[in-house]
Amino acid sequence: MADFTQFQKLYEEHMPKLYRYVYSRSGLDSAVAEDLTSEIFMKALEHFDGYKADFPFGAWLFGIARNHLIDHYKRNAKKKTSSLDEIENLLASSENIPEKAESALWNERLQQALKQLPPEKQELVTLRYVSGYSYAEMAKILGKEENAVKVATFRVTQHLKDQLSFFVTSHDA
Amino acid sequence: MMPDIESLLEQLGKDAGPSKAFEQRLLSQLRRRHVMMQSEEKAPAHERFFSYHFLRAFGKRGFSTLVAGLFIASTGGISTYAYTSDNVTRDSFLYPVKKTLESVEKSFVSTPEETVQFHLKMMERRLAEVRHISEVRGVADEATLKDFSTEFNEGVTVVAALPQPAQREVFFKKFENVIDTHEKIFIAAQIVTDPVITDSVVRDPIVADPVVLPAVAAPSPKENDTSVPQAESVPPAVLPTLEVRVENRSDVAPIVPVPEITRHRDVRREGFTSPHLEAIQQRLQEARQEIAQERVQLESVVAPTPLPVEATPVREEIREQREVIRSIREEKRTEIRDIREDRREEKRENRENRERTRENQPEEQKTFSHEQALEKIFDPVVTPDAPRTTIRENHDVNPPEISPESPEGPRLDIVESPENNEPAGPRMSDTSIITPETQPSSHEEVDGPRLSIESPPSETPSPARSRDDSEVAPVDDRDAPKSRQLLQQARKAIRPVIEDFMKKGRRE
Repeated sequence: MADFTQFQKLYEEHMPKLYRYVYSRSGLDSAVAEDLTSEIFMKALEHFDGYKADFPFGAWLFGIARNHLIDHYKRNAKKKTSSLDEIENLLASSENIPEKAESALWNERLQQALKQLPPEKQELVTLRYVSGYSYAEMAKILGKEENAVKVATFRVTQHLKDQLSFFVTSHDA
Repeated sequence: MMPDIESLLEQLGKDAGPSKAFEQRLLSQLRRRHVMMQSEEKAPAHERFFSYHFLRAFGKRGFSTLVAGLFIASTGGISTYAYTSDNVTRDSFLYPVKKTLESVEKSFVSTPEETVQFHLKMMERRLAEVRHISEVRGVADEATLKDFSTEFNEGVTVVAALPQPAQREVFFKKFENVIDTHEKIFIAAQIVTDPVITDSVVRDPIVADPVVLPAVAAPSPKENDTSVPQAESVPPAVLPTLEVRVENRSDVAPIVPVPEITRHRDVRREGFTSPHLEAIQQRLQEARQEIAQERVQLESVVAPTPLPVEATPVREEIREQREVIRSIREEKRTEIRDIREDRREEKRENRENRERTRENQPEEQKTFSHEQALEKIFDPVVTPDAPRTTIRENHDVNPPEISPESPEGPRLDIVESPENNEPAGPRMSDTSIITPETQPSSHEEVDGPRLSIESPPSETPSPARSRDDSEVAPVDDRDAPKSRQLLQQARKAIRPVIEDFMKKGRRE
């Protein structure tokens, strides 16, 4: 069994990113995200002996996470989460209610737009903006060229902007 | 105005960050898991053979049961003895059998609670073995103690991973008890091997029977070395949890009773150390600290938030309303109680009145005979002018039918008192009239004329007879002797004629 301190360093580096990724992919439910993150790291620890140091840990970990999330979606295919609850929570906890309500509304719209995207495009946005990975890291995780990842992410962002601009125009009209 | 998409997404990521508590909790879980994995890897070959992952491939329960069954069947009573006896220690040839059976038993364990119980059991077994070895050889076996500490570490790791704090505390208490025993055995072993103490006393702290020792006048210098208090001041004492066994009695000085705690402290002060014990105690201390930290976290999460100030009037209002409801209930209860008492009083009064009226009534009215009842029913005389009729029963069981014309019914004689010839009374001229002289004396006529309806005895009337009686008027009994005489005369007159006729016939 490998040394735990080595695993701990990697854990401290990648845990917040993985958690954000899982959180955004699990319907913004913090309890579900915590459970899934725990399970993913347990799996990673169990198979840590099979991890090769020359391969990026983030890519290896996200490979486990993706498979685990797929299993989770299969298990909970019928369950649906409502983001309206999140909005209610935000409203309940905030002091500046109008501002928070507007940002919550935009969040809701953004999530709706994200949901309409195919999974691979969703992943690009999540890894780049929510988890905060660089394009180089993303390329390693996704197994693609860095430039290709950059272009794909840009296109997805543009598509999202177009989607959300519809709400602005309809509101102005 | 639409916000920037990138900033919106980044904000989403910032909001979605994990909490510090979760990070720490997950890290500690991973550490525990790592320790467990290490202990699984370090398990000996025979344990790994029956390990969970191996057995899972072959069907855990079925395979292990089969192996255990075959093993026990093949080795019979020897394996049973090896498994159950504390005398089978590391230097015994049956010890591998014992260990193999224990590993089979371990493969049956699945839940964390069962695992902890199993480790506790194994710790106790190892301790019993250590005790046996120390009794036989006078030395604590290091290898067995190492096994003991391994079981302890595994057990504590599983306990620390249990979700409920109360459950963890219970199991830690059990571990503490086992470690206390462990400590005492160590001390006993140390006493056995210590040249200073061996000469005086060997203690077995597990046995709880008190032993009474006589007081000794003067202490020996050896007892003074172990910082025993003044022997003169020690009265005859009862040692609470000690069994005392004296060795080489002829060589040593008299025994001075010392409280157990003092003796333990003395032994420690002389430099008694156990590396396993210290490591175990340190690990236990760490586990306790972890639990304490988790409890603090839990309490901070679960701690009840005080109600806002605005809620206080609402509470007051609720309390007032409750008091009002309580007072209303009390009032209603007292009302109901009063009503019940009133009713009870009324009933009691009614009962008393009834009893009083009954006491005042004459004796005749109190009893109510069958005849009187019939008289009441068939004697509806209200006005004094109306003739009173009474239906007198000749037969007690079957009451007569009232109508005398009834062809089927029993014959009734209606008796009219001779004083009454008034047209208002009932006239029954068709029936035979019986004079009062022929009446039985049981019937008393008190006032006014009365009619008596009599029925004949039940055995005399037959249906045919009664029919004849209804067609022909009843014959007076006074005419019976006359008819009999006439019949006899006729017979006498006819007899010679018949005799002549008979004689003539014989001749012919």
